Amino acid sequence: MQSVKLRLTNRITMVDEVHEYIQKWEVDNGYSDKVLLLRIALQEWISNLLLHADFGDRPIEVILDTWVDGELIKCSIEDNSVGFDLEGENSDPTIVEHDGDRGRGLWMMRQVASEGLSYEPIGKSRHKLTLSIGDNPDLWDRILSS
Amino acid sequence: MQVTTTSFKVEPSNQDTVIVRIGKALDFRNAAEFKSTCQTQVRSGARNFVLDFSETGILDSTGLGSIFSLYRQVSPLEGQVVFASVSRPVQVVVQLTRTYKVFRQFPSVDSALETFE
Repeated sequence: MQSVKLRLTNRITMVDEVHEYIQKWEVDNGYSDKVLLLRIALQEWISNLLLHADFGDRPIEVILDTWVDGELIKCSIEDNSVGFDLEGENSDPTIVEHDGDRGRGLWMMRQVASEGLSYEPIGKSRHKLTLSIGDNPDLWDRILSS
Repeated sequence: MQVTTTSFKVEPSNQDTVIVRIGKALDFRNAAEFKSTCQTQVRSGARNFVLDFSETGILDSTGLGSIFSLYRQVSPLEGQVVFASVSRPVQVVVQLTRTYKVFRQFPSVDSALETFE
């Protein structure tokens, strides 16, 4: 199936543009439960970029690409920031003893990503996050029984 | 008196309890507004908060953080924060983050209010 790309450059409208993109993607492709998880992951990553990424004096540029690969929805998000160390934030925000709010967004992304998260440099001041969204039956079982 | 901010509608139920209609989103864009709206209510004497998520399509980690901030504010006052009419997108976030351990959920605002009567 063909991938669907979106280039984002406006900080103010970026989140709304992402949700419009996901909505259109869902209409075209279906997969509503998986798309809901994709929506959560993209919301977290875009907010992470907008709140915490260092873009230097460059205009922000984010490129989304989403496609279907078998039973998975795959997604890549390129950005022109100096990047993050994803491994640096591994605390579990769901334990009662967790101090503060840090790490919750990344935790959510790791929960929805079937094959883990990968965030790699792809050139000077360019990085790419890739993730896959699978069926996640345990999650849906918990939701149905809640 | 009902208070409507840009994103939220706040309706007092009684002296101690308010209903906050979250609306379409509680995320990094309006989390600060949520915090200040709730702080104003706490200063006015509110201790119990019923958050109505019936129309909410987006709850992100920053929004959730602002709810935890409210929880930390009212817990020492023996207050509670509860979720009502939780939409499917919000339910997914609640399950992913296991916040059901902290915030009780009710099928409707009315059933949540019964616990505070």
